[in-house]
Amino acid sequence: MPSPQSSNKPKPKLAGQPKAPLQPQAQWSFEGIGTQWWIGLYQSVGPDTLKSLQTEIAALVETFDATYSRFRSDSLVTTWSQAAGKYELPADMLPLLDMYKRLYDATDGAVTPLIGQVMSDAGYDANYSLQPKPDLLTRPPRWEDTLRYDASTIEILRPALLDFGAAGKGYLVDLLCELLETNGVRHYCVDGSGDMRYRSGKAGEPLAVGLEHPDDPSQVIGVARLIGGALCGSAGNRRAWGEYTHIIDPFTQASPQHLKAVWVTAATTMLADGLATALYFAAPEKLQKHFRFEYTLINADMTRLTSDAFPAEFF
Amino acid sequence: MEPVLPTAPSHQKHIITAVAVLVAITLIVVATVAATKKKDTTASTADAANISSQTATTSATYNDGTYSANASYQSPGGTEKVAVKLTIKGGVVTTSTVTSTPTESEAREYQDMFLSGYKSKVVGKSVDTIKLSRVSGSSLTSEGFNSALATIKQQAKA
Repeated sequence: MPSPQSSNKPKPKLAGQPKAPLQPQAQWSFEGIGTQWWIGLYQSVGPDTLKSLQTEIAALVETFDATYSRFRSDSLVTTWSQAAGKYELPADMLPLLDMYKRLYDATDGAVTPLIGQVMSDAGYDANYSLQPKPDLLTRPPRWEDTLRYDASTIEILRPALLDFGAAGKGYLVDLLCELLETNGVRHYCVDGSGDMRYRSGKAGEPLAVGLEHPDDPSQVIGVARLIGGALCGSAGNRRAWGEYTHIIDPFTQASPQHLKAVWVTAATTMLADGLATALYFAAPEKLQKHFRFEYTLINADMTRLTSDAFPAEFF
Repeated sequence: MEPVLPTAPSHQKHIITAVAVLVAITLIVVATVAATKKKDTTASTADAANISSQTATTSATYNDGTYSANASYQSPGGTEKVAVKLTIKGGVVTTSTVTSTPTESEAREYQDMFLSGYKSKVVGKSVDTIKLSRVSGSSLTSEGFNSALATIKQQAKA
């Protein structure tokens, strides 16, 4: 059982408090897939390398958006929502589909890419209408009735609007990290608006990450210290309209209200991101049978539940 | 139920009561739940007779240190045990654990119910006062989403 208060317990992978936050030697921000991005490099990189890194990253983000965004009429996801058939699987899509299938199975179908139409009908649509259409809201189709895929092809058995909002951004963080590593970068942070992955330098310098208060973005409720790996958060306070947030239960077509915020640390950002949604639907103990991760849950009454090795201190 | 254990903030110092009181509350809560739920059997009594602690103090200020207490109480199903451990530093409870070793399944159920309610409420600090490299919470949203949200909020007011 997780310890409800573990702020003073020794924790693995938790380093001492640095006197000042790490200062990146190069950093830049950009908007991509509908949110803000920040990349920091904590090592010296030549100006030409930096420029080519920035260009490659921008291209990768654009390709990702053109593939996975259900808000774009020209995206692959939009194409699949219009016509059944066999399609060639994009080169980088297999790990994402595999992750979604694992999450789908572990949550008995609650985490599903087939939630796209429900999200759209609830108002989270291409035009950001934020106008729910309750009459249209209906349980999404089952995965096994809709999607079949292997390493190179995907078969859309019947047109369905897919949504990769649960783990897609995390996966893009991982892809950008991979790109940095391929180019010899070894000490960096890729932050997709709070979903981030960090790799420390040889000295194991920790990255201090504030955990935002779910009701007040000007406050933090604790500080996570990452040595390596991913930290993802999920809270509804910025993406809430009416009764809905960015997370909708496929079985009830309602947004879960029992949690205010969730944070997950895991080896990859895709996993941490997906679990940050899965924890709205399944108990941590159940998910821990399938995945390795640490977590903090903030309940609706503002109480906190933190797993023993979650690398953070709380106030 | 309200947690009786403050974690760190100084303004909550005064809430701290002696370890014995905490244990007594623990027992009363557990026993009361048990008693309320199981009306058809003998009412249980909260018997905090077996409280022991290493350096318990009941004065208004508390010495730094780790305090622990074990207690047992009579439930309809028999004798049940609860252990409480807390660390006090500068007059504030910094860590605390409650462990139970219920012998009877119903007692386990009630104690779990109590333990799950025994959680601290989060405390916020202004982000400006803490040295941070990054912040994680809800994702920032696109301009499009923000302006749409502003529009419907405006409509809701109209």
